[in-house]
Amino acid sequence: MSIIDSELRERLLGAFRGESIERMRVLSSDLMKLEKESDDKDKRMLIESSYRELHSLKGAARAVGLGAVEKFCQSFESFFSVVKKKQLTPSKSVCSQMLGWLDILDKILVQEDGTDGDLSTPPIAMAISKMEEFAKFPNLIVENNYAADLSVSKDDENSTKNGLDLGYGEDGNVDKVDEAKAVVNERPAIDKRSVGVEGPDESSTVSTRASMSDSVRINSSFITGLLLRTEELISSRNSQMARAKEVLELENIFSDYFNFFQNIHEEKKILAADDELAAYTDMDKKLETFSRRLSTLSSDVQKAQWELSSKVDSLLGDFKNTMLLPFSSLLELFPHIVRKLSAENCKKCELVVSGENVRIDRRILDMLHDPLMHMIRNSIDHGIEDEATRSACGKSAVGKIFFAITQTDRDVVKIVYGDDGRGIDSKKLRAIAVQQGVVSKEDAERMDRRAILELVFISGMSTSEIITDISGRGLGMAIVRDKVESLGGSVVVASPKGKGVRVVMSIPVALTSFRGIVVESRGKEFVVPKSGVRKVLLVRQEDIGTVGGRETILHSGRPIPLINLSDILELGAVDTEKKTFPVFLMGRGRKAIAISMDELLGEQDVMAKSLGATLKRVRNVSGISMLGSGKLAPILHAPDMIRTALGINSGVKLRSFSHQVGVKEVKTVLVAEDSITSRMLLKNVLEAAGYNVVTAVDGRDGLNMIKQELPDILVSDVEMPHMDGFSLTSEVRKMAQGASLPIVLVTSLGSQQDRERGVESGADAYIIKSSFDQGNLLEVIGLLVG
Amino acid sequence: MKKKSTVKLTRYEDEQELLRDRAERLALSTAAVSDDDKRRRSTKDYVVFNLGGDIYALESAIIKEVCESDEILSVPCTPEFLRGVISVRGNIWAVVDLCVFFGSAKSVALSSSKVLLVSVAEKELGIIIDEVIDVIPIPDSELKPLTVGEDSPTRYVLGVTNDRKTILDGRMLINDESFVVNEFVGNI
Repeated sequence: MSIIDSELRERLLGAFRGESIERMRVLSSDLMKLEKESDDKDKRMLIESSYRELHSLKGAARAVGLGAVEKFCQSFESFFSVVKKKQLTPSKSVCSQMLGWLDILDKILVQEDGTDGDLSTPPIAMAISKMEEFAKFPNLIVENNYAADLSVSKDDENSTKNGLDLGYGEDGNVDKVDEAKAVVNERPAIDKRSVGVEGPDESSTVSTRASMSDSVRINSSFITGLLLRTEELISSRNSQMARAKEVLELENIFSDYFNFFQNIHEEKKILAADDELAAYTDMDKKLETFSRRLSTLSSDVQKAQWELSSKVDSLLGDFKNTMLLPFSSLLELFPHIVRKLSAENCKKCELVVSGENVRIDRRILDMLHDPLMHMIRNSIDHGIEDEATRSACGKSAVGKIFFAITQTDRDVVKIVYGDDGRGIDSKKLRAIAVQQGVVSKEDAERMDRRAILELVFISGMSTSEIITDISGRGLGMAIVRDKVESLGGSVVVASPKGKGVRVVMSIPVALTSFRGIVVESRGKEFVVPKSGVRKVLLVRQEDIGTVGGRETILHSGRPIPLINLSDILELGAVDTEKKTFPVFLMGRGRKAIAISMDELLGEQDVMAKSLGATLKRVRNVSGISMLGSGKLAPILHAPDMIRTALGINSGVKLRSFSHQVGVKEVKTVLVAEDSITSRMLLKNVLEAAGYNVVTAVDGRDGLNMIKQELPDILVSDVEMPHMDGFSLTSEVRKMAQGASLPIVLVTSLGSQQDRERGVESGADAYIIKSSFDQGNLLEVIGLLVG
Repeated sequence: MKKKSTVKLTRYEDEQELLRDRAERLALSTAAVSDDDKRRRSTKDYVVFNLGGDIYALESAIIKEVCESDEILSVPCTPEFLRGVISVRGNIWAVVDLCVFFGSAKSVALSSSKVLLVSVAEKELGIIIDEVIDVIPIPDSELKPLTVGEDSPTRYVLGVTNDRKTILDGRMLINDESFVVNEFVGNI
């Protein structure tokens, strides 16, 4: 491998990774089908396809020098070649062993080490020797009671299970045996899954794959790149259109002038002298020729523009179609994952899918992968109860997870995801939201069930350990909402008590273009997706009222807070006083908001470009588009705008708002201070700066609190009863988890000696009270907690 | 008869000798070439450019192109060091002002539209500059290390040349997470 330089190898590995994922996907779905397939012809087809996939995977692995993968595939392949040649039908137990092998292969692929040593671990070595054994004694493949016949394993009636026990069990590796059992326990669920997913289409899927030999493999990023460049043609077309319009206008103006001239000419014919008339006649001829040429040019330009338009449109249409893939290409992954996860959790789950033939932009599919995965994880980890609990509730023993996909509109796809688990515990969710300071206690009590369920989308709560315990729905839901919204869609969650969860996502079919309203604020142009705007109003200065010191407008008899777009986008205050200005109504119900701007420039089809890897997520901006004029403009993120506007309206300082980088994480500051005044002062200062503040009345109290729960930073007075700041610091430093806790000592002891003592005891910062102003302390804290 | 065959044999041995000789000589010369190669490898081409009056250089291998963009679109709600985005053949590139990022007192002229497109592996970053001055080879031996500091520019500096060009570590720059903007609107 050393000959190939590392960059090339990296690229090759990247390509291999993509390829192997795809091949593994095909293999796992083939093998699952094979297990329950009854028709012999279809079986042959599946075996043939698996054989080919393994062969290609082997070749690819060799090309990138992954010896372990290559060898494993080799054995697997020779096993299949025997099956193929002898036209054998693998028994159920063998089928499930093959699935086990596939899992092993998956693991080897993940390790991606490429050394042969990998193969020596017991399960892999066992699997290989098993394959070789099968290849040598083909009759074992068809025998259903293969393992039971050999009667190596103990006391089981389930032949499938015996087969697997044998596979792993002989080397006495207890863990592996358990794992194998877990895999098997879940087996019946998978069978049902297959019935649910595949249904009658099955044979057609198989035959499509068999006849795909005339297709070409192209890197998807290459296609995306091509599409981007094709989309650039839209702006060429638009500027061409503008030019054609200009030419038409010139032609009209000129024909006016020409008419005017001809009138003069007619007059001159009567009045003017001969030589003057000759000049006029000459000019008339020249102008007529010119006029003819101009009108020819104009019609040519028109024609060219129509031609270009139709060509660009059809090219783009076709391109967009190539970007559309059926949902099944994404959902193919999930049965295997559900099977694996439920085995890990010792639960029984089945996955039911409908509408997998609905087609959607492949980029959207790619982006949906993570959110859907999150939800499946949540369902299996926390939603679906174990068998005993389910039976006690009168539910069927096997948990149900389902996807229902429908195309509700020409451009919108609705995905309903759900499970029939225990659902979301709204009481607990409310309690935790209060505890985390997301909503105040009073607010929480006023919230209805729907509003509370909305809380699952809050990202600050999602990472928390506690949330994971309340049926876990906090985890990842923020990501789900963010992804869906960044695609221009929306997501709602419902959870009838004890009856599981429904998540309904509405997603646009294509990323490429949508209707956008071009607006101007502070001299800059922005695009607002039309789907996010409920209504456009023209508001006069005198329509604006003030409620509680904030500007509002009345709409349908209800006051709605009014925020300027430039405030949302942090563009600075507006200085121009305008008599009337356009206003967008956005959001619904309690989240309705009116956003004002300087100018409304019009509506057009815009195409979204992603911001790229460096700008992963920008507040209020979801992408960039190229306007008809060829200029770039940011596309605004409607849900973000509403949230920002509500934040400004509710008086949350814009500053603290604008600097929540990444996942919102409130840092906890422990303040140890014996004077109540100083304590309250510090608490207020720190809370205003967005920290969560916990207080202790002296060093001993502080130490106890640290032992209970480690804060992100300790701010301590030096002179305190029971235990002073220096001792507290050195005590904390003695604790294992306190070694890296940032500690700030705040004191009036300003001598060099005291300062040195502070350093000796292990404090990170030493702030003198006399020189103590808020800014200094906040800066130090900001620096220390990052 | 016998003698003749000996002569033949000797000549054969001579030939063997000759071949071995040649082989050795060839082998030596390859070794010499690889030495030469090593020396050449320790010299890399650098693109030298001007950032607010200071002279910096980046290894040319990681610079995809230098482009002059008609329009750098500023993006609201982004950090100050982010000058904006440009579209290069339909792809959006983020453009940063390293002067602002380094917190230096100087800055790249606001009117400047020259952008270095830096790309390593999958990562891409545009760096706005005042002017490309030159592309020159600089041997590694000419890089004098800066005194190590924790402040932001020195972290990215590979070394300084005798004529005060600051050689930046483009790979470190482009992989720096501080350039990545990943902000959410707080939850209400």
